[in-house]
Amino acid sequence: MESSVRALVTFCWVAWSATAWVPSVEAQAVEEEVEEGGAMLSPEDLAPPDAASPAEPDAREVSEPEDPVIEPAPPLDDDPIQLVLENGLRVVLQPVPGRRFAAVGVSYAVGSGDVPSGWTGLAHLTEHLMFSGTDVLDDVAVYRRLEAAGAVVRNAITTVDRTTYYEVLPVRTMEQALWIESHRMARVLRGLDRARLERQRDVVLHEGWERNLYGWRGVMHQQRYVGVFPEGHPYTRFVEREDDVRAIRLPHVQWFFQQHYGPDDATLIVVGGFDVDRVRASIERHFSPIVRSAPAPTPVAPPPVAPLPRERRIAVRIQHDRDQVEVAWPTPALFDDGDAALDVLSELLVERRESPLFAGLVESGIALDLNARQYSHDHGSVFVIAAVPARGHTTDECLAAIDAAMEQVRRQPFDAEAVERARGDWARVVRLDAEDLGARLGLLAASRGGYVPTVEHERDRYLAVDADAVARVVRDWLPADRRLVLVGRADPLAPPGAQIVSDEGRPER
Amino acid sequence: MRPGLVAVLALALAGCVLRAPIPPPRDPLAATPPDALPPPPTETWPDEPLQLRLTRHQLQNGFRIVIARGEPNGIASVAFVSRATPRWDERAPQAVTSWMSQMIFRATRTDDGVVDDLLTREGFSPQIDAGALGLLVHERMPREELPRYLRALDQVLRQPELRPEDLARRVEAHADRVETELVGSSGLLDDRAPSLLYDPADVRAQGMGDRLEVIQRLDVAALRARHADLLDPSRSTIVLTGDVDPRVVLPFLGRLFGAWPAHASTPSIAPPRYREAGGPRGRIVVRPALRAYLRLVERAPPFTHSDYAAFLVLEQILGGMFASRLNLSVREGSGASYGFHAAYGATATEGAIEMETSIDPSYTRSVLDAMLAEVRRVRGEDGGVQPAELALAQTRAREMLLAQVDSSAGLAIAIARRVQVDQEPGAFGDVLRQIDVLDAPAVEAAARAWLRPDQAPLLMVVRPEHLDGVLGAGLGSFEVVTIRSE
Repeated sequence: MESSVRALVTFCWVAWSATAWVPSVEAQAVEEEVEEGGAMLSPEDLAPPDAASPAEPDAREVSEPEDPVIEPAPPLDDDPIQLVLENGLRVVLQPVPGRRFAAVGVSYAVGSGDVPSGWTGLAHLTEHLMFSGTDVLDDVAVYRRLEAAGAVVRNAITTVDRTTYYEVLPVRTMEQALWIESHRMARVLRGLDRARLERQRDVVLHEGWERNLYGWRGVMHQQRYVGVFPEGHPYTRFVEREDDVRAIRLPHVQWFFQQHYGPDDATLIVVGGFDVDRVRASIERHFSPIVRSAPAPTPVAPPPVAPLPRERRIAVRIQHDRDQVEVAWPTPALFDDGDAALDVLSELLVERRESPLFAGLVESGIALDLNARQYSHDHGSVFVIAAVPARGHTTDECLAAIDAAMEQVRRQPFDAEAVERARGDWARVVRLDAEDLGARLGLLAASRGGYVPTVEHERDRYLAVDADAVARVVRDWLPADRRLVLVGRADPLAPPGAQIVSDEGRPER
Repeated sequence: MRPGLVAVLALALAGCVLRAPIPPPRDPLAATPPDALPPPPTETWPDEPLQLRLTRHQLQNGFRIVIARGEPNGIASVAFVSRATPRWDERAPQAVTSWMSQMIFRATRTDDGVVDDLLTREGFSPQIDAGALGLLVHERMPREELPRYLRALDQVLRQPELRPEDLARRVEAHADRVETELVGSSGLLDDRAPSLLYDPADVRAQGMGDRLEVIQRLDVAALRARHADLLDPSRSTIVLTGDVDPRVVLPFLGRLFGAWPAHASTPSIAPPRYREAGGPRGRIVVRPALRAYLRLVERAPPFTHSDYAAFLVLEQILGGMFASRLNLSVREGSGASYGFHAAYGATATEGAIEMETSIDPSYTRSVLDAMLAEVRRVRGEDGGVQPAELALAQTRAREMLLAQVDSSAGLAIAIARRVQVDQEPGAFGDVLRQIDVLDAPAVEAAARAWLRPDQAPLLMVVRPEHLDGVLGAGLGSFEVVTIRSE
């Protein structure tokens, strides 16, 4: 099939020129105020240049100036302004003084774990269709309007638990983003048709191929969750499959949108240097008229997460040059007790040369790549240790080294000093994310069970982790004999799809 | 039921996927009455100009300090810049000396007696960019950590313990990675790309395999020589931004970095020598892949060139912005791809622009033609750059720069980049003005000066059945490498 893309480019240009709307955005001035620092220094502040040979700089003596006294900043006053409109839309406003940009986002409480069985990709395809235009705006107009408003980030993310749409743009044009989000919430459904569905299906499929979702990466991902969560849990069926995406029809998307894209399914989050009163008035104006199109579904609580009853071993054949091995366990949900301790544990295991996993696998030369991570979700998490064997080594060697390192950790838990350092690193990352408007929006979008993950709340959550908490999660959630071992056996000539070679320890139905 | 029929049914069912039934949507589809919704806004909200409050000083040994005070939010950013020559000698391309610079950051003896990455052990995770402009090390932190970070940074830079066994282990791991990459289509293209752009006599033309050979011959003496380059205070600057009080930190910085020994000046890097006409135009990897891949690589103006601002705008037009014609047509229009992208990067001496996309293989020839047609168009052919798209691209280019400096981290890097090329720290204000005064003829002229639609190197992954179509398109000659696997 050859289509005339060149003709299409010309068509786009004609259509684009005819309907182009570009607001007049004036150039921003930059005002500079420069002072010379010499007046701030005294002769005692300046050490004379060393006369030692520049060829041996490491032989020089170190000068030891005293540290200046810099007080820590007080905790951020970052409890956001929260309100709920009459139509149920939750609004979270986080002003950040001094910023000239703002992040505007809408997070819908529906993710890839909420699709009916056999319809993986439905949430993702719906996400794409939110950009396909409405009954009065086509997709080109949506993108163009945002970029003409100076949007430097324009993205949407579908996770297992939620779908979040957000933009980062100058404060002076941010009302465009508020209007677009309200417009999409109210009118995408009216504009959906088969042509748009087909076009976005193609884009979703391209994304799946490009990100290897339908290849070895998706295979490993799928088996990780199937192996860790009980049958029937929504997390066992969320990894996107190509044939499911191809099976979706227009009525399916319309139904899904009606079920999950009402104003009371959503949280509108705004973070940045905006005027609160002006933004509240704009939100009321644009979002208040929106109403649900169908009654909300009755939520079904998934089965609770518990440690596996026995070890399960899954081997898959993957189209890759390198074998992969993972050890995984089900763990507490996002923000639940133990979640932060597992984050801290992941750093303790791999961050330094002498860390148990790093020393046992990378320093020893057994593994080329190593990772330990807590993947946190609303209805249960997964703690994963993943390794790629180095040349001349095997997945069995990696697994033995992982087992030896974890046994060492069980016998000799991390001491208070190490835990304090690791939890401090996590708290620090959260604190620094205060500067990242998109990161703060994402954090606030993850709010659940009444807990609002502000920067300060998250810092406190990590700083509360102690050595006992880390030892407890290792004991309670990472048992040696009740886990998933997932091996990807590399075969460059294998077809892209899933090929399960063996599955030992699978629960009986 | 007869066994044969059971078998047939089982076989048929094995090919089916059981899906939960989905009820039809409700009528009406959307309950919100359209006339209840307000029209789009037409006004913008008030804003203030970006303000830079800079303090600067040069120490006796030549070391420079720039401090830009920002919001009192408790966060500070530090960028250390070394404008040392990026090549330790003529044999090694920038990628090799980048790798060597990274080694230095993993070679500090700590109080625990371990030789390791001190900054990471101290809880920091700086971004280390050892590119052709020189070395840039950036980190942000709570403001009270500034003295500890600066002290650790000083120790890392001044006192690396470069050991043969560490070098050997890292070379082994690097070789492992490179040898794996070189058998894949991405590696085959990345390896060839430099030699398609640069003259064979320029070390920039070395591919991944050549660079690996150089790295494998490195010894500790070479690393020490590289390190000596980095330690030149006359070519080094510290940039601090964010919640920083210059009166408090400047004396500390003066004592710390003022103790660096003065250095003999080191030579500057020479501008690149580009490949002359002749030889293959590109490389094609042929494999029965699910996706085809197209990449155009072309030379572009360096940071300090008068065409720099025009290329920031061209980057948007050619695929940097979502509303670029190529992206809209191949993604939203024809459904051929997840997206079309363009990226422009510039150093003090050179620049490069890349256009790339991963596509449905059946569109290989048509997207290739469209890509080259766009390059011709921005040079002024076939209608040239249109006013509306130019305005949009200018807005994007401008706002991308302003967004960069909206945080202490972005501001530190933006100032550091200007310092690396001997520009004034706040020179991005000049770039904003240059972007705003551009018109279509100026952008087209810049495109004509640098972009060669008939010669720009092309790198592709195509399916076997499309190879003849590409080779027969009159684009020049290509090397062809065949891979069996998908």
